[in-house]
Amino acid sequence: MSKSFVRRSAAQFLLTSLGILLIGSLPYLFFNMKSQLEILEMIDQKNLSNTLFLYDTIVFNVNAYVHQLIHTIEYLFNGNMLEYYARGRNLPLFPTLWDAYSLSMSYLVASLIVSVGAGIILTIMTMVLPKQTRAYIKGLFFIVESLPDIFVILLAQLGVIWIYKQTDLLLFNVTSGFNDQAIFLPIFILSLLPSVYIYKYLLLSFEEEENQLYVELAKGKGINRYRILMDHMFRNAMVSLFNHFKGVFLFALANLLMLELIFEMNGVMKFIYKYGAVNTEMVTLSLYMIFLPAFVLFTSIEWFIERWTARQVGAR
Amino acid sequence: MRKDSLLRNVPFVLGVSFLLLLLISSYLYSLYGAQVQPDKMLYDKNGNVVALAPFAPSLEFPLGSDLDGNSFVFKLIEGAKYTIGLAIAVAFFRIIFSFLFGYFLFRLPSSLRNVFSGLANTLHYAPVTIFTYLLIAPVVLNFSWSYDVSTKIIFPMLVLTGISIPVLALYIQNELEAISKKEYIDSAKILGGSGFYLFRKHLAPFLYPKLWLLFVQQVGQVLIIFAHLGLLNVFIGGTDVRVMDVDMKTGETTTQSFSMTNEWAGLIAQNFPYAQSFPWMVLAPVTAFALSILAINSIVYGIENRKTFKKRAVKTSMPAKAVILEQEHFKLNGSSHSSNQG
Repeated sequence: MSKSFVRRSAAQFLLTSLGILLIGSLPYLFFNMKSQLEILEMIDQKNLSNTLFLYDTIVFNVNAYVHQLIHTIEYLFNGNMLEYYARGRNLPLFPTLWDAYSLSMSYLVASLIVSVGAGIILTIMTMVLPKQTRAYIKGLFFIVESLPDIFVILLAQLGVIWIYKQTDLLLFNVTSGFNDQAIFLPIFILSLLPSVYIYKYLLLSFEEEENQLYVELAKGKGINRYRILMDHMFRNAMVSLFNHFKGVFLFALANLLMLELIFEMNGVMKFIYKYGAVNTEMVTLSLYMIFLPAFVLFTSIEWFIERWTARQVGAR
Repeated sequence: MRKDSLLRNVPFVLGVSFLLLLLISSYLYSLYGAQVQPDKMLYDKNGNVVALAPFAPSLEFPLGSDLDGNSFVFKLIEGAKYTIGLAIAVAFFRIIFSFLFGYFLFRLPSSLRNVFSGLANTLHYAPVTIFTYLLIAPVVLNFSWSYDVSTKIIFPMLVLTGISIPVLALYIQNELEAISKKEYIDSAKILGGSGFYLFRKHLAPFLYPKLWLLFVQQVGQVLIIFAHLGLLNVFIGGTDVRVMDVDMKTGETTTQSFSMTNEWAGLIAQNFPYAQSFPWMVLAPVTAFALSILAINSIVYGIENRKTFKKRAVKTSMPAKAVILEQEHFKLNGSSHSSNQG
């Protein structure tokens, strides 16, 4: 592993961690969170019913912000004493957050794997087709890709209900209860749009590769068309896909948020949505929990690509 | 008309005319639209009641109706001007401020710039909607009692504008960097141009077309965030939370949010509790969002592939060169896409 790579990654890691800390506590900069939370607690505990006399404005409270930053750091290193505020009480954060987190992450990881696989298969199937047919398919996928995630996921939910009404075949409990967490359908729905995204991106890089000189050379040498596609173009296109994997990940996260809300799943996104606004420390912690594994993944992908290209250059 | 004129560009024209039609009819409707008192019941020829509101999609109600029997088509048309208007306004301010901030970043020493880009990287680890929500929610939902109406409208707009500035400014700074590496900039420097003059006369003109494209893309992005926020129960343009019901045993209150303007995100939020029983009540505003975003994307597609369309016209007259031209098209397409990641 080269030294500069390690230094670069470490700097990136520290800066992003700092960024999460700064963003997570941002509400304390703009609102009088402390007094507001006290009032909220009084309302929730029924000590206060008339709120008409209360008035507040947007503030710029640097002192409270810095104070909250320090408090958040303490909170993060507090081990298992963590709590969150919900409806007038402080509840222990674990294992609630952990359950939500592992549910979301298992869906997210599985659907990322599925969508990378589906994207690759679809792209190769398309690349075999003649160029004119490809243009039609691209047009179709342009429309699908333009649809917002909320629309696609909502339609998927209605589709499940419709199939159930028609055939009595319940593909998936449309709203998850306790204990019966569905597996296949959420993963399927969550991987729909990322697949299209990956497909679009891969197709572009494949077509870019197609015009490269080395493909011409390989064709000239009489190498089989499929072998050029699978062996040579595939590798190079994958490198450029994984260079953009961050975008895919973010896109999948946004989809996850919509999925959890529409299908009423108790995942980490829903947890942040429900309790995040009054528990900024909890938000910061959850963001770290998403950031850490993702960062490790991205960095290792980057490292592999770097090593791979270095070897290619060396071999030449 | 010039051959590469945007007016001859089918996707562009389709997208623009859809949005214009929507906006114009929205204004005309609220100016001249007949205020029909909605009927909660639907009768057949003999005067028998056949259906109770909300009505399912039919010929009379193409997108169904709401709880009072108002047709969703008219509701959506009325709300279009607020939703699309706000999206355009937010996107406009996003571009203006990102442009200024991007220039500021461009003039900054590269070490500071790297620090900033590292910090901005945070935005890649959670959806923008969540960040926006966490900053808006205290004003419009959690502590809604203490902020007045104007704060509830202006502050969300500021957050929506501000949240995307880091990423957009970095993109603009990158573009400026790329342009400033060109040879003619060196010549301009040798001839004595420096600093702001160089920016105004030589860098900015190359940036403007890209900014236009970015602006249109941002309108689409803002629309998507509006739709998401609707699902998160935030109404853009003011949320009005009313207590509907109090549970006597637990003392928990059931609150419901209302929107008076028929703004689309508000319609999603308002109707989401009915999504299971009357799916069209949520599907109608979501479809409106989907169609507008599709229109925006086809405008983007039209602008991005401007030259391609010109070449296609050439292609029909000179089929012999078709292959080479097509290759250029794919290269163009690819490079424009890879520069837009982020």
